Amino acid sequence: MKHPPISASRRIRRTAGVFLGVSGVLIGAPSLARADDVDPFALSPEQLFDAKVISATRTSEPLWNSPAAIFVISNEDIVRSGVTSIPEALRLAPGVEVARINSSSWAVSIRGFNAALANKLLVLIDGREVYDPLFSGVYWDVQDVAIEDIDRIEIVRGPGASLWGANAVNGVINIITKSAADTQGALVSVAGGNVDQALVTARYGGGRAGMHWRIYGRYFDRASYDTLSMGDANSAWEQRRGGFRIDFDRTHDTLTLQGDIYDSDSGELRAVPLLVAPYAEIAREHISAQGANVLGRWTHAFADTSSFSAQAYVDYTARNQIPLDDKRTTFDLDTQYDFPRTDHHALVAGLRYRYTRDALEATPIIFSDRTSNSEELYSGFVQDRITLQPERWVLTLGSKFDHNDFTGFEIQPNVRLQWMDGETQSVWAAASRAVRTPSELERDLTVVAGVIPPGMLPLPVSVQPTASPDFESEELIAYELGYRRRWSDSISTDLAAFYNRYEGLATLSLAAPTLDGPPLHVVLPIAYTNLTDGYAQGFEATLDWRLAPGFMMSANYSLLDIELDGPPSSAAIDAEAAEDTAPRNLAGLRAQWDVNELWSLDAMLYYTDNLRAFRIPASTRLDLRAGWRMTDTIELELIGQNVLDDSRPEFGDAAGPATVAIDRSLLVRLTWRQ
Amino acid sequence: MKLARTLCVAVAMLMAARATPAAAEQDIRLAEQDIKAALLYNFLLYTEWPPPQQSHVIVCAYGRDPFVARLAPMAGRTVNERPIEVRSVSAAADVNGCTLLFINASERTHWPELRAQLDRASVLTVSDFEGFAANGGMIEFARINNRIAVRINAPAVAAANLVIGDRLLRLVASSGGERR
Repeated sequence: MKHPPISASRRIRRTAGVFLGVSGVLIGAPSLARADDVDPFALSPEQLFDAKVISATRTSEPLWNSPAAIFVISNEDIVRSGVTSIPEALRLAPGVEVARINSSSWAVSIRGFNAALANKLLVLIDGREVYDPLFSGVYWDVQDVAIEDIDRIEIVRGPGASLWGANAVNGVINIITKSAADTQGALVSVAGGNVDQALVTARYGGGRAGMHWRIYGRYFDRASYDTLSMGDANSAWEQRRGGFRIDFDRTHDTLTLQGDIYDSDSGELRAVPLLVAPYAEIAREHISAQGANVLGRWTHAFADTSSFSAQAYVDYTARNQIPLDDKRTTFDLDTQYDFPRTDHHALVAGLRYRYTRDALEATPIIFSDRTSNSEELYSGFVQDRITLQPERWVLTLGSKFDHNDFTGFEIQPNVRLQWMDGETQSVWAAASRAVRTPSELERDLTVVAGVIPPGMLPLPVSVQPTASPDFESEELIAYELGYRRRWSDSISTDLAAFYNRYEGLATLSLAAPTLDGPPLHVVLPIAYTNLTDGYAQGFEATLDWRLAPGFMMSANYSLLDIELDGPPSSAAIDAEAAEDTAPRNLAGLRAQWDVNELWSLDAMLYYTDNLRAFRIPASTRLDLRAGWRMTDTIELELIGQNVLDDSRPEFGDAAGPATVAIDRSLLVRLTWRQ
Repeated sequence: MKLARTLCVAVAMLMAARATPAAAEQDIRLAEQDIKAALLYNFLLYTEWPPPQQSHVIVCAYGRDPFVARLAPMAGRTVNERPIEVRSVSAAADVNGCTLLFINASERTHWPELRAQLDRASVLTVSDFEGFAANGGMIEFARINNRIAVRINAPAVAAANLVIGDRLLRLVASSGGERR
């Protein structure tokens, strides 16, 4: 007799569902995948009614039993929110801070430490890491896909390091596109408005049983915003993008091949430091970014319920702007083996190798002794999900073991305990360790951050954060507690509280000044040190309420309190700044209403507390959408974003003349599907 | 209240203990969509349609993200020696030629239109949106305790001159589902 077909594939992409221990034919993986050689059409109705579901496309139900703070933004959520980019979609999730800096740049973070390149957040698109090792952050301007083809975005608040590895410190964002089988036929979406001036997406999918494919192309032209008092922000943004995906599905094997290519042009205003008067000039900077990637993922299911999967990708990125000219190639190979299941254990282990090399051209602003730099990462993980008492108590133990070129071995374990009461309620608790490894910038590069004009000193002072080979990883020990409850068929709540203890946070320590020239000036080197410790605590709460079959409401609230203890200003620059760069209170309220068979209405209200570091006041943002099905194949949508304000800055010094104010956006979108 | 009276909602929710011994041992796990696709096939096997019958059994999927890819393996199988044909439909006018019509949950706003179009045509209607069986649909998929269950609107089935076989109905009954 054949063994139970449970382990079709946990998908090497390690969706958040891995915490569940159910095997992850979680959607997005070739969704025709299923286990072993069970043909569902050969099963009796008795067997079918008894079969356990291992994936779901519409709700976050498979995540209900995960012992972690997980939220899922579905395809329908994305489409019905009217957003046109990934970072804007992230506003829908509780506890995620999204602040738009200008047309093409966002600050996105979870549980604090927000910045343009927030470094404690790991972002993956279909299993491909898009966290840039040079700055330790995500360039949101090049993270884009055909929005209509996103299956879901899974957001893990809290450390995911035991599975995903270093830099999954405060959270993981997993963007998962649909399988080719789910994007059959043609789709053309055309939108235009005052901010998203032109936005065109076209996709076509075809195939037959066992093999499906799609191709897509996307173009957009987004308007520049205005600065607070310096006129046009020079941030008009144009991007061309295309890609493909092929999914093969055989009885024991699934294979996915996919790739993307893009070219982006945007800009900003940049204060370029000078060693002579006026010591800084505002330049209209052009940002040119290109990239291409190709990824393959193979899963084989063995008859004994075990499975093996391997994923490999090559990712090329190039970025050219005033301070930076960098071309990077990354190769990543990830393997995973799901051991045969027993009644009590679901054991999974994996090995990973990553090689990344970049060619950095020195500029007057960023330079290094080296122009080429390569890094290797060797990594392994093991996780066991132990059922202590069936359908009641589950203990998950796991750890990631990394070796990187900068800090050597890093061990990132976690332990999670969960108690469940059927599908009505569950309580979980977790303790984890995670690290943020140094960026290449911190270890290898020197940056001219600015020049202080002569005044107190007779000479100009060039402030230069400098290569700091002694800088070590930042460390987090996190304690989390969660409670989920399904009060009725229509009401559910999810609560997660956390206490994060940080040690060795990056600190800009002042070093001994030197003289340099010509022209004669003082160099004030800044060393990256690990001298700041502290904690963050808070909670996130969500409420989902289905008032009627066509009417859904959801509400969320999150509280964040960060206390840091770093060197005084005589020894370091703003060591405790992160206390004030993220909002203390965040809240969201959302309503989805299917008025009738033709009309649907959506409203999203977001409250963001003030950002003390930037003197940005608290704000309330309202987004609205009305959808009208003109025919069976054509839908027309009217979308308004930030409708309550003409314009206001979301991030950056609220008194700074070059700070960009984000305008109200009005958009008309026409989508044709066949 | 009228709605409540006219609706016979039966919930099939079989626990492992009630399953066949083989199934209990195997602890079958499948993707939700595969279970639903295979159940549709079983609905064809255990439902009787009034004569005259077409030469083919036509399974239609209505929805813009068609379920068709998962139904594909069904094509080529037969029901009472009649081959199954799987179609993707997007126009309400096309649904009357279907033997079974599956309506994707994302298309729930189109249901009133489809329902009016079908009137009492002998088309077995199935969907997975909440409230389908309460609004004139015949079989609604639900998800209970991580398993797929169905709600059957018996009056709607009878009004279309269809007869759902005892084997399916017994499954509903043995689960303790409500029948009035």
